[in-house]
Amino acid sequence: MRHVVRFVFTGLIVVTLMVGRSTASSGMAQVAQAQDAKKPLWGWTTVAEYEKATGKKLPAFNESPMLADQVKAGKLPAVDKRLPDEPLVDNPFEAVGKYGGSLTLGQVSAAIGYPASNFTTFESLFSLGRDGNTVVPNIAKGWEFGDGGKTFTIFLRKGLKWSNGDDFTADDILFFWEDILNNKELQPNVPTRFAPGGKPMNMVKVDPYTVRLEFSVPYYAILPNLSSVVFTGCQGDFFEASKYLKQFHKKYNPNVEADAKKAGFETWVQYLGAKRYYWYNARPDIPTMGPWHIVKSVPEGSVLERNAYYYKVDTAGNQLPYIDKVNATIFNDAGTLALKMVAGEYDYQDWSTTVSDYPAFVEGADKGNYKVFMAPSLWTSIAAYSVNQQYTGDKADAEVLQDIRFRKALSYAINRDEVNQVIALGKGQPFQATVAPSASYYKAEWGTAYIEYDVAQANKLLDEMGMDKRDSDNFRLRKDGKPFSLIVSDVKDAVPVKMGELMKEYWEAVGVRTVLRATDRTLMGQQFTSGEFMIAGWAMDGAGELPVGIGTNSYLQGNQWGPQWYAWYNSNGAAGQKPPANVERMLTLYKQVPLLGPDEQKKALTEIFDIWKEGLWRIGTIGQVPKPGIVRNGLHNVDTNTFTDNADVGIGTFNRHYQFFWDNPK
Amino acid sequence: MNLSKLLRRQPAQMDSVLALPTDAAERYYIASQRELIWRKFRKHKIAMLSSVLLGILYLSATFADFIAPYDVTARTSFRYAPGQPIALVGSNYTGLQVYGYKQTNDPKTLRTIFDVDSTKSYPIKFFVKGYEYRLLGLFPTNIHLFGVEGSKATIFLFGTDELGRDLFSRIFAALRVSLFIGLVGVALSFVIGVVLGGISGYFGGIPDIIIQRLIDLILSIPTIPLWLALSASLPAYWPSTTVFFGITLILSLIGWCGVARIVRGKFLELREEDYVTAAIVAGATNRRIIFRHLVPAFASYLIVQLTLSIPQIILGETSLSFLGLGIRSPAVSLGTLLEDAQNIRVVVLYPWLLIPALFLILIVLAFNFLGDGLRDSVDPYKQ
Amino acid sequence: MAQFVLRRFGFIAVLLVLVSIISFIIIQLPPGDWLSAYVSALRTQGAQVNEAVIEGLKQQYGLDQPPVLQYFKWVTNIVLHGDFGFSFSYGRPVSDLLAERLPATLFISILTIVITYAIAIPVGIYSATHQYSPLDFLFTFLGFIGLSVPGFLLALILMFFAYKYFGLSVGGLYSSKYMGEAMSWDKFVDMLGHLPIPVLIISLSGTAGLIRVLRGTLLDEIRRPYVDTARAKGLKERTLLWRYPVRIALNPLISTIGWLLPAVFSGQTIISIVLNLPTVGPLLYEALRGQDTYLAGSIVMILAFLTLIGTLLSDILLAVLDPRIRIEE
Repeated sequence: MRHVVRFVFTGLIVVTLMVGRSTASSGMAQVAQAQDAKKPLWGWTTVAEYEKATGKKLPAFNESPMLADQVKAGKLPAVDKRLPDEPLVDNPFEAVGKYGGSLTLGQVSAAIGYPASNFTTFESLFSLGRDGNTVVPNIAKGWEFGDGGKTFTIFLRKGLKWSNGDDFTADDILFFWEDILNNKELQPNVPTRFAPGGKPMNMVKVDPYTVRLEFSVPYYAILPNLSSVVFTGCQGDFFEASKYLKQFHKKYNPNVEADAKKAGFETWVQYLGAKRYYWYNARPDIPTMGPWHIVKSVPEGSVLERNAYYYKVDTAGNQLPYIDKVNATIFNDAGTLALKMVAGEYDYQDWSTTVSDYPAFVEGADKGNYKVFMAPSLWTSIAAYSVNQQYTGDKADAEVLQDIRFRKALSYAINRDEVNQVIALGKGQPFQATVAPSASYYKAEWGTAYIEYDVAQANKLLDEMGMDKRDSDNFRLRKDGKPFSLIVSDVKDAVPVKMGELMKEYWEAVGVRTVLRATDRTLMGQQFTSGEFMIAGWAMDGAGELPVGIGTNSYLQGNQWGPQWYAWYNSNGAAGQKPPANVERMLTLYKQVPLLGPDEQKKALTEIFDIWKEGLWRIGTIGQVPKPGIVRNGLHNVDTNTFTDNADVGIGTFNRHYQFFWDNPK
Repeated sequence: MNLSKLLRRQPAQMDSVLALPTDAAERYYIASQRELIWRKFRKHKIAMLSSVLLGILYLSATFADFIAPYDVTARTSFRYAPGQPIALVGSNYTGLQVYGYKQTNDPKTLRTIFDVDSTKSYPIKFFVKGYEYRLLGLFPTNIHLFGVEGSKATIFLFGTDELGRDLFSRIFAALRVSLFIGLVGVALSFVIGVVLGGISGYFGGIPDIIIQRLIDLILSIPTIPLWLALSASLPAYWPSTTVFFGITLILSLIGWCGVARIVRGKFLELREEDYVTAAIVAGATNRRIIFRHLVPAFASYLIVQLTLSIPQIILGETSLSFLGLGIRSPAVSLGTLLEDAQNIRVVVLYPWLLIPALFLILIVLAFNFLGDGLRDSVDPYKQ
Repeated sequence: MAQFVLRRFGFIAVLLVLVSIISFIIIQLPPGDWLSAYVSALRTQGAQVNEAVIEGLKQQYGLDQPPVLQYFKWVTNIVLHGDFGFSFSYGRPVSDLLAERLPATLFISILTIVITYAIAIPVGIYSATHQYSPLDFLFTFLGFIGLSVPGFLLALILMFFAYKYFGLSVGGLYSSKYMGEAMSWDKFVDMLGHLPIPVLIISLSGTAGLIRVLRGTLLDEIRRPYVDTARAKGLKERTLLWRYPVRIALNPLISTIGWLLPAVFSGQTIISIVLNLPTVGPLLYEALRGQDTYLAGSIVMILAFLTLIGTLLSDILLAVLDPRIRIEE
């Protein structure tokens, strides 16, 4: 196959993704804000790159004393045998660190949630630089687009190893594609991400260290789709520990059904499922590519030790990570975790915290021997209210919800400055639910549309709708003279607890009778599909440029506000209902977005967000609400001014835990 | 004439025959059982105090709107403000008054701090005009027991919550729900428990087997899954008042089993007593034996249980709220108020939001002491 | 007697079937299944979950099968193979999950029960025999306080104050640095430091309740004519007390012994959530919320089974100890 060479082996200069623009381009106000100029973007692909770029010679490889002892005892190969032929040279955030010590992290909920253990075992094929927009090499050392974007070649590092010492080769990627994604017993359909233009891609093993993907249409979004954005490109999403997993796979083990039964599973499918790593499912026996691996799991949490085969070194030739051991503890209750944070029992924590606890964290900082920081966020709304356009209840009520004047009135009725003060200590911004302002194509009017607090305007719009008559309690009646109640599904797990009560007050102030209905998030998830709700709050997540650009933002597909249209989108028109012209245009455009070249994509997204702004199907409240985090005094290389929206930017890609080190390692 | 009737007449007959020396003694001997209980109960100081306290609490819960200076849902810009102390002598004048606030912003913790400022004070007025409400749910009025006048004046005796709502007013609104839930819940579980337990214990046989196995079944299922399942099955479209009754029902559904088992046990034990045999021999009806002879015999025991049950239901409601299954906003109960207090920022920075817990403790204590006093008073063997 | 026990075992068999059905219904009662709960949970944290991945998981976990079929599969496996199925969210067999939490659960429960009885029985007897003495007042007052404080709130406050004023690390069964390590002297000492708060809080309301009940019944018994008779016959006060009224006053305690386990368990669940104890309670709570059918169902069923056995034992015990309670044949 002839390559149209767009070779992007990266050095210091990084070529970016589908948008294809350099980091210096404009429109990155917020990202720029969130990082200072001196922040190293990431590092160098190989030792040679490092030496070429800096003119320095990398010292001989060094390792943690903990591993050196094992090497001496003959339990482990020497460090240069464990590192790949071309290790990645990582540029530390502040300084080259010291080996040793342990890191104590916490997480809420054992089974669901961001397991702290996974922040420390997560590793993706490609990664993001500290700016949050630049794709950089990681496990793979490089990539190449060819044939006008119709082929994509991945180059792996020679001698790269899993945490158990197995080789990491092209087979690990092919196993995932052929034996997992294309096994009908395991996966009924190939995810659309790997079927651009409606046709599953083709995967070719060029040699043990080179894999080529072939598409029926140009597909530039494949790169960010393998770069940790929304957890993509990690183990379980694009590659697997094939040597280890084969024993649980029917194709390679004819006795697997019996083995599964013996291990307490019903089928081999479940058995294999339990042995596969995913970012929420790390287990002691599963090899990983991350900086640490789990050595023990107990009900209280997991104990992790450094991955002796981790492929990154620092600029002094030290194999990373610096810290030997991680204790990842599990909490049943976020309140207890917060208490323990205040008590100074945690070394680093930037998740499972709420902004209203910030004063309490600061109060305890001196005694607890930690610093508190506020991490910026990409989410444009901490709670956006989705107005159901296909309400299955009363027809006349459904018509009210479909009226754009009604949605505008609800938006004008919200006093966002007050919400900001009450919910976010004034640290957020009044914002409409739209794309993050850091997006290169961002228009200021998207974020500010209908966010003024204008009760008169809201009343005027409602009057115009014919809802000008009032009942004995002074609530507005419908056009047909019948009472109207706006039932708000209040999901306390998904929005700040007091948000619903505030909305009720604002909307009742303009005469809309509002009923709060406490709803469990599971029930809500189902109602989002069935359409049995009127209006419901949920965050405007996935709003960063990258998640939007790779086509995963489900709100732009109709999720939550147009259940039938969402079904229409996901079934390629086979199910659901065909939407009206403006929605159809938006959905159709969004389907093409991942396939488009940089400029066309920008154009398409601009049009999409113009339509989105006028539709106002999701009413935003306040956005960019920072999350508090703590870091123990004496822990270094911690970036306290970076995104912690882990789903949007990829777990651990911003704050690289493997760079953390202690002043005085114990 | 049967034996039991004869026995019951005895005291009256004796009175007519024997002349008693003093008035007091005479009154003691001819006093009805109710009077005897009252006499003994009055001597039990803490129980008396408890009953007065509970009386006041129930009364104020009934007139919560009258007592509360602010509407339950009324927000102010004073968020997380501590309580304003009451003073008689202020810096400006003498008379009942509350101190005002000095507001500062702490740039370090990002919070607005309200400190009590004794140079500012507002006179407390009685029977002032405030928000509109319906007294006892019937008469529209806007008169409140106390309050302050003027747009700047505030009276937050117990401070305010996250949304700047007056905790004092909210506590009284919450009492209305929580105290009521206790009574209704206990009444329900007691009626069911005594009837079924009585049937089971007195008649035995098939009804006993069925009822006992039913109780075994209900009791064998841990409460938390039952709560979760039952409250998940409360229809989502129910308004908060109906949900409140639903939750009361859930709490009493589990509560009756304990009562029934105890009643049964007592019946089994007592029906072997001679006086019951005597009553049976004398031809008394089952109903009469149960309610005239058996129930009074273990009434004291029932009362201990009753007093333990009301606060248990009130506490149960707070547990439900902790699990996020309780009363839903905008209704308030002690449970929802404690739910707001169950976090680190309250414990560290806003401890006044724990005041509802003090009310809860006070109520439960009072019920227990009341029951204790009643128990001693109804004790037939005690002089 | 033997016939009574046999018959009761027959009932238990019937009840177990009912319990297993009820357990299953309870878990199926809330809308949705594990997968929808799971996806919703991921989505609240900002994960955009792919529809195709959801389909794959649905198939993998057999959630596309009707509930009745799921029930029969589960029950058959329990009866035939002693296999409780596996947990969706942990991807591990239920029995493994239970086994690793059982030691801590039993340890805390038994300790709580022992402490409850060790305090309640002597204090209850003392209070009844020394009615209105200063100590009786003190015990009564403390007991009532114990009954009136909601455990979950007390737990949080105690944890904070233990840290603030004594610099103690509380919550959990031991410090996180001992996580996953085998029991050693250091770990044991560390654990002893962590135990008082949970055990105190969990046993608090149970102890207080028992004292009240014991005191109440004993007061009733002490004033019975047979006590006077015994006293008139010259029995020593202590012997008299222990031989007759105390034995009867213990009846309500014995008849509730069967529910002690679920009571301790339920009381401990909420406190375990707050204090972060590695017991079965929080596992059950999480499983219920996540609709992890087999995990939640199995725990509910095992507990129900233990309770039924407990009730049977307490009935037998009652019949043995109190001959007046006849067993009708």
